[in-house]
Amino acid sequence: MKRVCVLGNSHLAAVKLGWDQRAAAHPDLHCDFFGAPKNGLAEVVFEDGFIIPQTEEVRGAFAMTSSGQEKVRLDAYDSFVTVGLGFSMQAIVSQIYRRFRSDVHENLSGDFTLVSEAVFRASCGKALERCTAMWLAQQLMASGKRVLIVPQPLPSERTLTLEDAFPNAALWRQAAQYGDDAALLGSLVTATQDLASNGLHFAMQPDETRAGPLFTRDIYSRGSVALLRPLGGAHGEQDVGHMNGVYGAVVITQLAKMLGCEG
Amino acid sequence: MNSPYEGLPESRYWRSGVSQKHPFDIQALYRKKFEITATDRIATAGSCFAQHISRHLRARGFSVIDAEPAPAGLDSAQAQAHGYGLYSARYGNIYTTRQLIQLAREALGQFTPANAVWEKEGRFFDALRPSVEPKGLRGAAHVALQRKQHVAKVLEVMQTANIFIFTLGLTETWLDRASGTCYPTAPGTIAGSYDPATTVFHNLTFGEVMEDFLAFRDLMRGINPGVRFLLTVSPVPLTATAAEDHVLVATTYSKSVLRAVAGELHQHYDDVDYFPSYEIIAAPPSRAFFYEPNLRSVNNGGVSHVMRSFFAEHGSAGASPGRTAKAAPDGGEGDDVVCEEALLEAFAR
Repeated sequence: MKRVCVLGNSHLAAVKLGWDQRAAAHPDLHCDFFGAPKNGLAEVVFEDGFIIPQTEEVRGAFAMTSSGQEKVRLDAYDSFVTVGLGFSMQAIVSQIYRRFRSDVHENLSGDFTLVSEAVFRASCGKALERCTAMWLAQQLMASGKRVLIVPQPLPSERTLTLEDAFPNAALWRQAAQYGDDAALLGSLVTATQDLASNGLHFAMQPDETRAGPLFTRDIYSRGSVALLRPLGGAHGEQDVGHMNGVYGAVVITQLAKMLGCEG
Repeated sequence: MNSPYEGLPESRYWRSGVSQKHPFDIQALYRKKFEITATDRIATAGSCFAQHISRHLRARGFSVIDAEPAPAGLDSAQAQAHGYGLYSARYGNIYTTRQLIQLAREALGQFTPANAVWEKEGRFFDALRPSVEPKGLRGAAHVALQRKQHVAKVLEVMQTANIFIFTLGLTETWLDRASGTCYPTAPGTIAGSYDPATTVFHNLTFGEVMEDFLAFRDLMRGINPGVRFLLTVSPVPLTATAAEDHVLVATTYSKSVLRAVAGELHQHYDDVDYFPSYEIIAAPPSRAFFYEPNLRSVNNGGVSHVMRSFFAEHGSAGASPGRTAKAAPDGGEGDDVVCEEALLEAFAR
């Protein structure tokens, strides 16, 4: 039996629902979930073998998502998984592509600074390196634990047709229309490969769930639910960023394979 | 009988001011002409030695303009290799006054460089700052676009700086025969290829350097009347000369011209100060111990000594009350400067 602690923000909801669907298929795997919305997991400390929330909000969120536990005991688990927490294509698009383009990009419209591809890719790596998922992963690695990072899912392909789906949605559409999507995915993959050289493991978004390089197939985002409210409150039609339990089930299958628990 | 040399301070006599002093103890080499305060917006440019000045000013909390910052988080080695953070804009090393005036005119829309894109192995380089993209860009159009963005930022620097610090580096330069466009390196050094039919070597004279700088001063004051200038002369000798002289003779010519121009500007204009980094490093009292074994590169001890002299005059003005100045980078290899002129070493037999 492998005991796995899955930590994440709102994107944890889909993985939890996926686990509910797939748990029976993986009897050699046990998962506990600890979530806090947005960047709540940045507000924890590692102390005396525990991950301890520093705010009431995060403590409450931990208790709600884990069925009562307010802190994480590190030695209770063989592996840790982070979900979302800023490790995302969204970070690349909103922090780098919005302000910088490289000479491999075709979208040269708008207000941006042209940089070399080497600088662009290095900047993407740095943007990802600064995210909460990486911080958490590094703390966990220092504890000698195996860590897998599940990136935030790509937004739904509904982004292409839904006006004002989220801030910068127009930029995502432009990236796809100009054909910069493959280069952006390449930047994410390269940055991830560089970070993986430090001993981290990445569960990149499975191909079957993707609609091209930049989006998730719409069937995986229909009916997504919130992490709290409690778990199960439906996101609206406008929400193109969160995925559903079907998506979560694909991720669970992927994780089980990476952890050697294929059932 | 009275002599005008009677009663002068000891710094005015070679024996008491220099030969009886340890180089570190030589006093009063520099007296500032004007204050540089924490609120002044400082622009830096010049030959590679100027990178030290820029970096140390930032470390001391002075407000050095960075109009073209690297994307956030890019590590400093990679940023520097791409020309970020070296100067106030990403112009790379400006070795000559001809480059300087040309860039200013371009920023003001008065000049368009000729043959401004060089090619090497299918990659394209900005001929006027070929080192800022070490691997070049994918197309000539990308170089042109990047240059357009850069030149707009140069104008911003010219419009907003209170203090413009410029290190005069070289007199030797390469010109496009037809247009007079000045390049920082000879074609074929980093990219492009040298064709004597289109490119010509030129060694600037005292008059030309003076004229170039005064024209630059006029242009900058025209859009920014309050700006003041601080000049230094790089103590770094030439890596190679294209003149018909021995490189030592060529270096002496080059530095002498630059030092003389700086001296005359300092004498005649209240808005031009001169800081003697050249003398501190290169003059006989230092016995060349501020140079690396190649007798060319300035070592970290030399840079630190130069900057101590500078901050002895300006340091207290630059430090903000209650603000902790970031320590200067340590003396390891990270203190290196980006100097494409040094590439000429690769061509030495």
